[in-house]
Amino acid sequence: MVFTLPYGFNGKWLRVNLSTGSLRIEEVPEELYREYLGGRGIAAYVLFKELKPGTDPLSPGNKLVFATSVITGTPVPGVNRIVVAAKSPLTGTYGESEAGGFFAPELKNSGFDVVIVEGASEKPVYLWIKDGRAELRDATRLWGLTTKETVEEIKKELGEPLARIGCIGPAGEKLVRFANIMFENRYAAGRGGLGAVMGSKNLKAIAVRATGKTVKFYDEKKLVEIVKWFNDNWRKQPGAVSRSEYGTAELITPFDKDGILPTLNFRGGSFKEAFKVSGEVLNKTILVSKSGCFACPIRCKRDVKTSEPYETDPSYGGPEYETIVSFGPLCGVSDLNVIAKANQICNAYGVDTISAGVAVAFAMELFDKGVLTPEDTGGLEVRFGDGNGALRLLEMIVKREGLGDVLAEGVRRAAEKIGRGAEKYAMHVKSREIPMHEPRGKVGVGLQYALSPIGADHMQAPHDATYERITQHLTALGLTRPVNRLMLDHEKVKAVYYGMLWWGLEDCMGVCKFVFTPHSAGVLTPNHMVEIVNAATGWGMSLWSLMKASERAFNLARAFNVREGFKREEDVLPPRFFEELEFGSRKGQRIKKEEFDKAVKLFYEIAGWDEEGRPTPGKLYELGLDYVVAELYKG
Amino acid sequence: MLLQNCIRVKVKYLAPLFQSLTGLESEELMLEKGTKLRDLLKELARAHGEELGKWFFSEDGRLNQGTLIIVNGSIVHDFDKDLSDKDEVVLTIPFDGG
Repeated sequence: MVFTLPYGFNGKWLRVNLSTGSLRIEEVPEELYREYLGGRGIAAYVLFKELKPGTDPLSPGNKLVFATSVITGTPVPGVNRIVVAAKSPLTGTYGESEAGGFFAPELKNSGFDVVIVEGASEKPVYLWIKDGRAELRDATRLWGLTTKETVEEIKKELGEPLARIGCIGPAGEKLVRFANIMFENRYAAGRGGLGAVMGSKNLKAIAVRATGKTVKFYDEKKLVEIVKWFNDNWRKQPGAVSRSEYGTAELITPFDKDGILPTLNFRGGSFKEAFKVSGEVLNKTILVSKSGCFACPIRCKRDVKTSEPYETDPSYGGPEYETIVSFGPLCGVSDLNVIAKANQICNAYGVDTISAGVAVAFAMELFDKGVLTPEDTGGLEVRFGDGNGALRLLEMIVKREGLGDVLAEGVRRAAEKIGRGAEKYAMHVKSREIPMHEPRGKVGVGLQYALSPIGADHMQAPHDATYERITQHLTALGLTRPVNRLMLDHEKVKAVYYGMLWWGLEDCMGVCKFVFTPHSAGVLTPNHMVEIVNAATGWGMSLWSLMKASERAFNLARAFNVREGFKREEDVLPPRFFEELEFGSRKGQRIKKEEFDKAVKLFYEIAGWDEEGRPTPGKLYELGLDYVVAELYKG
Repeated sequence: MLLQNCIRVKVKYLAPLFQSLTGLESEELMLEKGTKLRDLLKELARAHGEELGKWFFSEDGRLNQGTLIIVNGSIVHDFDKDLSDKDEVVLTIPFDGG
């Protein structure tokens, strides 16, 4: 028998047990890659199969998965993100976050498609992987360091300036429930508290280096053709050029005018000083240079520099749209210097900028409404518009001091602790803070917030404006009827469902949501995705089979949550979104609760879930998830 | 163009990319009755440069799918739409999540 190497993957997973110190290489059959592809698919498979229901996310029983996909390492722009997953300490659900940069292709070329970390170390350690070998190294002296210091120290210690490093900062060590994992101290697997999972395991960092390539692709020539097509065409797409020119901050002025810019803890949708924090002003004031990810010419990320009293270091990267709005309009702050400083504190200490900004805005509203007073907080009082106060409170969160210690638990737990009606102002779904997209002006986004398997998230499906015109890109996904951004009818529910499968596929593949249509900045099309997967693997996949793989991963993540006890009543929005927007150009607009509840019910029916939101045996069998049926319907 | 044949149309540039190419947030144009959307976009490209025009017209002459055109609050797909007096034309990008 002639043994042939697979195309598109190594077939090797590294399993690290921090309790015992064991490092094992598992060889994985091709069938598993065909069914799960990578990223979310593989991570959800591992966590569903291996985690005991009810596991404390911050206990040694939780597992942390770093997953690449069958197209990671190809030279195609925007397809090289690392997917990280574990049971989330913020939500208690399946937790997942993705980061751009350079880590994923380095990991795959080092010989491993996936790293699974389990158990917990007695003392701080970091994992060092190089060219198919791995070791655990002492990290005692790194404990307490910021992310940048950690990256620099590890590179120095190893004598490997080209190593790629994912690490936690002090906030992850202190188990801040929305601590993140930072890659090269500027690319964040930001959401859901995966950094706290690393902290609970005493794992400070993972460093990886590949000096060659371990994976072969089936049709390298085709991949090069696709890259050439991308390079020849991206400048013809206004959305891509705009994103390159202004970064994600391009959204601020249009969203402000449209009344969908989250302001003052989601009370309103326009901010009178929005222009001051716009991408246009950022370009003219604090921008040093543009930067980007592996193989991508768009370079949508920003490097910024500000000076005293808000001095920042460009190597931490600049604030993106979500961060600008979280610490800007949401807190009533209009100083880009303050926002850039907040961004740096988050990246240095390692916390999610969205959750942190929402926590600060939540506290500001509590002071505003008299729920919190300086007497409760040892004299501290932070009001909307107080940039210095926002920075002070952020520092207290990342260091878990005073009121910051309460907010470090996330707004839901903080509201429970504070009491006195504070929960009315806690903006979250399944304990995860709401991102900077106002669902009262694009209601499908509300649906994805409620039905995302990871809690409130804006990157689960294209947003409503996408479905208003039928383009060839939507046609590729089977959507042929335009639907208005304010409609929440059956057409919208279907569009969001298909949208979630499409963006879910991108999370299986480790793909940037911006580079593929129908995203407004997209260049590659859904049909390109099929070409890329087949050029990488030689499998003969179709968009149908890829979308089915995404549906499989989506249902696995859902089944994980069902097994954890999540029910229909958790698929909701914070009450504020059913109330009228208080100000801005969409003042008075609200989501009708009856319509929303009906839409959730219809989503279940379209997805093949029962009235409680459980995937039905029929749906699970269709997706080849027999073992999930056995688990969810035992007894 | 006689006054009685003249229509006034307001154009708003919502995307920062279009604002940077025109140097404007909005402008008003006086056009002849019977002017179609296609003619307006050609006029804007003539006035502000082909760099702007390429965001309206693809190489095959069709509407560039990456640009969103809204006339009086409704999305327009048809280049041959007739414009009327006091129409408001918004030119933007269908911005998605960030």
